Amino acid sequence: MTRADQLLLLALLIGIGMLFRQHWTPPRQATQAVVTGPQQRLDLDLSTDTRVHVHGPLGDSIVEVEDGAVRFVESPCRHQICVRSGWHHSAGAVAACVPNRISVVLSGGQSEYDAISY
Amino acid sequence: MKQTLIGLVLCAILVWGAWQQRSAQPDPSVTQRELFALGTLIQISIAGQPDPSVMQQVQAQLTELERRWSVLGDGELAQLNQQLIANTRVSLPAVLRPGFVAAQKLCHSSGGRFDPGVGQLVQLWGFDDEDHFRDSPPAQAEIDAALAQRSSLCEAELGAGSLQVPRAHARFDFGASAKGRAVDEAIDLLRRLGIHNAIVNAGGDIKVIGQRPDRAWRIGIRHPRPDQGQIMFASLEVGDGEAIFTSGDYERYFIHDGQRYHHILDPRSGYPTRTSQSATVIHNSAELADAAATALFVAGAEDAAAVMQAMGIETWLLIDATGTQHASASMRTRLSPADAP
Repeated sequence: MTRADQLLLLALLIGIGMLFRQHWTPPRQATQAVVTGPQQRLDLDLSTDTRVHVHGPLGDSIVEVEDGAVRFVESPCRHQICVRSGWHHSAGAVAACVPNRISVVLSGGQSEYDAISY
Repeated sequence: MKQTLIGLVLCAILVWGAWQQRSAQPDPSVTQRELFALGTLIQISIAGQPDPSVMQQVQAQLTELERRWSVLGDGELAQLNQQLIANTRVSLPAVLRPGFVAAQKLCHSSGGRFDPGVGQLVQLWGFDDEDHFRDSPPAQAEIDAALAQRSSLCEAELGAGSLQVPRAHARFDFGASAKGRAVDEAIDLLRRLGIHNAIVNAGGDIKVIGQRPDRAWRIGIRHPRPDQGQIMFASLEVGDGEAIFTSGDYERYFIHDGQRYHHILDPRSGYPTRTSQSATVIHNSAELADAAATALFVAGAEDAAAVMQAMGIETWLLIDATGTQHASASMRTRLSPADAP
């Protein structure tokens, strides 16, 4: 094996390592959020920052996507449980404004948990 | 020959990596459905592709149970509470009786820490209804009056078709056990419909059947004070027929003068319990796990072991007001550290 062959092999090994790290490690972070209201269903790509208004029986809830995470920014409910729950980014995570009948379910990654007890 | 061998190894790594990538995709063999019932978001996850009618039947059952056990609306419990305003003896609908009987037993075994007779207090604190929300605690005189007027379920007399309470104005709120009862019934229905592997998750209160195709169902327990570094407190695997219920002070609450007032009231004092941040219980009966999680939260670290023993609970976890973990031996053997997000 010449020195060039050895360098080529080394480069190949490093390249495979980098590819494995970047693409093949099971992602825990969700890639998509499905926002469901009484009359709407929105599939949000978590790689694109955005804000959406979702209409419910109490009025509009505002859902925001930023840096791969999603949260309720505002909601017309009084207890504000959904807003207080903060940012969500893990696959399988769920947030909901129950009084306004709006849910956010994160998917697209490999969920570490099948459900969360809280 | 040597180069060929190295090339083959590299190819093998590539193929293995591609296989890993495929297995990292979300498992399409688990069907999920979300619905609103029992005052929360309910997620039903079923391994495989069930007939659509399965989800519809579960949804119909949960909707009926919500109507039956809600303190609002025109269901059986709401009507019974209405009659109790002016009467101390009322007829007890047959559909409510099993829930009343089970809850009374748990009221006794918990030493009154779980008690559906807190209905007036829950209403006074505004935790029973979105429209009753308040941002400051009730006056002490109002709490004293509600305590003097209330009838504990422990002291009620349950006849074959009647309910006798010691005082008028009794008000029963099954918010700490009806969800568990509904989860039990939903799981029973799924089994009758031939479902062998499923989760019913009622706003973080969970019961499972069977397991996933590749492993046991894995449940994360939320940290009561999450931050960027830790969202989950721990995780564990649950087996066929097990329920895991958590009560915490972080969902329904308001802050007044820097003090957190949450929805888990101590039936004896009339105030939110100050000794705990969260309580988690595992048992095969979701109804018992539901009530026991509330009783454990109210009991606090000092009385936790005795109350859990009295209620027949072996597997429990309490995080007290300082954030310190207290767990039964059975729970300690099952908990795994939660991975960083």
